[in-house]
Amino acid sequence: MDGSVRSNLAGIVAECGGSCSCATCHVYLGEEYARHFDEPSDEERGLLECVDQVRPNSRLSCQLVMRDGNPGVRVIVPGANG
Amino acid sequence: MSRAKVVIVGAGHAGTALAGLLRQGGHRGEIVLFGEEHDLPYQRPPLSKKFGGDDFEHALRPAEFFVEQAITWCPGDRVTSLDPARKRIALDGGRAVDYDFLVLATGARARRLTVPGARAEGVLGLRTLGDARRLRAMLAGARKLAIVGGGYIGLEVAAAAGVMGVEVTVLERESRLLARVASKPFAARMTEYHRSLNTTIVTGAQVVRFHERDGRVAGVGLADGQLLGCDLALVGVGAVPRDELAAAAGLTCDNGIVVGDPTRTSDASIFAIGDVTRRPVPGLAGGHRLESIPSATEQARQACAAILGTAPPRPEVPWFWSDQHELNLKIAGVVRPGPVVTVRARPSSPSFSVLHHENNMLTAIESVNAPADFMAARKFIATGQRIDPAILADPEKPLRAAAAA
Repeated sequence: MDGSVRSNLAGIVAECGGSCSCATCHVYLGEEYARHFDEPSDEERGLLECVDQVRPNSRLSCQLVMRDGNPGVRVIVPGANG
Repeated sequence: MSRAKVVIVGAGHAGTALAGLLRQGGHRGEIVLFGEEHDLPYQRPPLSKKFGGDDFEHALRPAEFFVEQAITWCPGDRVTSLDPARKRIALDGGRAVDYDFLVLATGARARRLTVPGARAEGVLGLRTLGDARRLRAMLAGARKLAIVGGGYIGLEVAAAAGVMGVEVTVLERESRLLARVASKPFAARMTEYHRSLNTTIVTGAQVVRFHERDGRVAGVGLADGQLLGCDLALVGVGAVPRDELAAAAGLTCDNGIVVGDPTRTSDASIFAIGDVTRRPVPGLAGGHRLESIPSATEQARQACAAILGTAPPRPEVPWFWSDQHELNLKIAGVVRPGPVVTVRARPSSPSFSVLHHENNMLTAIESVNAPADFMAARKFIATGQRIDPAILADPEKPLRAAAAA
């Protein structure tokens, strides 16, 4: 999310600044990357339940924290983020 | 008009978002963003929620952003007047800047009390990063904090200061907390929660003066003669739109810059966005002041579309959030008297939702730690989905199952 906001990419609004409140940073996370990130919290699951264009691999990108050893990640931004 | 020069006055959430959106939309003309403050444009929500820790200073965008996006950010520059006929603004120091489109995103200021002692040292407001730094510094040496105003800002500060070990009293003029902004059952549950955090809540408390000792606040005097001792006071009694520049230039203002269609002012080349506006809200008559980041972002999108001549974005259901200790509050729709109110709660859980509905349609939700309820309700409100009211009160059934065929 931070990377996208910094680069002014369309589709990730992130209006709550990354506090898992607004669900405007919805992305699809490729299966091969999922193991590099924590499981979604209850809060994140709840928000994703009714987000537009939800899929099994939906995540809120503000909760995808890049850690040392993470080789990188590719996500797809749905068409409907706010 | 993709080469048009856009001048944005105000570098808060709305103004900064608009500058970025214009470039995302392919705008190739000059973009100038004026901000009175010297700090990088910053996130406002953490100021009242996280001032107790080291995690409340967050820039909206890093400094490189403005360079890379060719946005001329002018910190510390104060705009002193507008000249709509010449399409020109004047700055402190006499400089003038021309524009093709002007966007006023001047925000709001914290309302001050005018009672005796209100300017004593230790009587604080909270709106800016500077205010939050001051509050944090002064709280470090404080034992008793009096908060005037039981609205969202007051309660956020109460929760955060309570965690720091400060004794907190909230003084609310009305007969209950959140009187102008939340429903009775919602406010009652929040009152109970804050009392469980050892916050003292006094309602019907009309503040008539601040007592001083050696120039510093030492207590709050109430109309009924009570004197409440404190060594720090925070005033959170609402915000006043900063519409002076617009009013002086002859733009239509009514406690906020009046916008329609949807962010244009009474001058076709001037837009206004964010907390300073009195704006249309779908489904409601008249103009409304929505002080929230979602509203600011939505209006930035609307102004961007109008400036670029692209299709306007889909209208949104107004919403906002608040964090109070371990509670995350999310409110969508406009809470008003009239609709039926249903509480959805489990006895053992701190999470709950208050649902407002009329003719089997939701009009608003006030939710606490209930993100799935919130998201489902917001969607129902947006689409005008008919719902089965019997399911609303049953927390064992997901709210999204309330959609009637």
